[in-house]
Amino acid sequence: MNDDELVKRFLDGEESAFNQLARKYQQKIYWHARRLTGNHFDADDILQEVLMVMYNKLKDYKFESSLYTWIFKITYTRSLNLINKNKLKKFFSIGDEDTPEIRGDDDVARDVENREKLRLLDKILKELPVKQREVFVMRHFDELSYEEIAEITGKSTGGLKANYFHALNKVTSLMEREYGKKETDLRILGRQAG
Amino acid sequence: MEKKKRIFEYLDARQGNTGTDAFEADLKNDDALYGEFLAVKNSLAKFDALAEVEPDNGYFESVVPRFREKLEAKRSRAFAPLFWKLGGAVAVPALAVTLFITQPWTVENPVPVVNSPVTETIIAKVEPKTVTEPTTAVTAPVARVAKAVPVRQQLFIDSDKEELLLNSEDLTGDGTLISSHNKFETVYSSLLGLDKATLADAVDKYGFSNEEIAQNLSDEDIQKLSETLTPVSN
Repeated sequence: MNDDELVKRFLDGEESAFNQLARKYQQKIYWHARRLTGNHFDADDILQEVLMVMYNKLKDYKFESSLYTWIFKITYTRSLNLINKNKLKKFFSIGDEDTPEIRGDDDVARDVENREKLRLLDKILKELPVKQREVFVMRHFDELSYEEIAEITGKSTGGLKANYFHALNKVTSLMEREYGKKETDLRILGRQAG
Repeated sequence: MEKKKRIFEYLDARQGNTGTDAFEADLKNDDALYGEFLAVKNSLAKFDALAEVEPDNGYFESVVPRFREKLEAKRSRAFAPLFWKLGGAVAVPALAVTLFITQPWTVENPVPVVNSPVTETIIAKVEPKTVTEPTTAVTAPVARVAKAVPVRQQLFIDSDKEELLLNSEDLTGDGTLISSHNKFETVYSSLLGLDKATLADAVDKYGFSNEEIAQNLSDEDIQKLSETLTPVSN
């Protein structure tokens, strides 16, 4: 059953149709929010908020654009607002150690190995400025087109492409810093020898 | 940098068929370009591997049930005030009518109070005493230490807080602030850009410190301010 049918059934009063929609999109919402905010607690809050907004506003949803673009738009604005809110909190509470950014629990990861991967991923993404991070997450992970990202963010595709270029450049540099270039150099030598 | 730009454009499929073919031909002939290409691909592959996280399925299974619980709680909260409003609307007039009918405060035949003869005799014997204030202190006054309970006082009204934050850009006086993609970023950057002298001016001007601002901003204030600066439009 496609999204439009599920929405119509939900609007006709079938609550289970909403559950199906929620289950279908929950991971995408979570990971989008997680990669933008950089921590589990904020991502979890945003996921619950987005579901609440979907539940209350699906009646206003116009079937002109795709549902996932609409959901991404809600998730994006909520994530951006939370990032801004956390920045304000951090600025005004010098010495307050109970800020979400400092809490290091990653409840979504299954084990220590996955938790460590997530920690490193969050660390690298957080080094990107928000403008670069948002386009990078939507393009690289969510695989949205520039037109879709422009619709969600309200920015020009030219600006988005420039920010994506800077983000890619920074991510590759940070990864080289983390892992070094030894392996790559060996592969080049191998090709030259062959 | 030009090489990297070409590599990123190739990976982002921005070059079109002709550009792609040209790039792939260059890759075969240019060792430096090939080396750079491998380095980028290698870094991105490692980065993508970081994103392949096996999630705890228990978490995702709990999302919808938790949402349903919140929804139910929200509905009952919305119902409770209605209940109390309706209940109050019925109960108050009912109480007023009951009191009007029964009028428990009116006594139809009041009985005059009559003292017994013994009581009258005692009252007659008691001499009236004049009470005067003592001219000297009997004991030295005990010094007391009053400890004030810290109370969050409203140092300034909300409009002042927002005015300060929104107009704080004017206090920085330098053009190095990073202009950003929305109004919040500009204000936030300007706040961060305050140097000590400017901050001191702000303290003199408004009569309070940054810490005091922080203490007086509740979560709701911060949320409100944040939403004012970046309104949610969904």
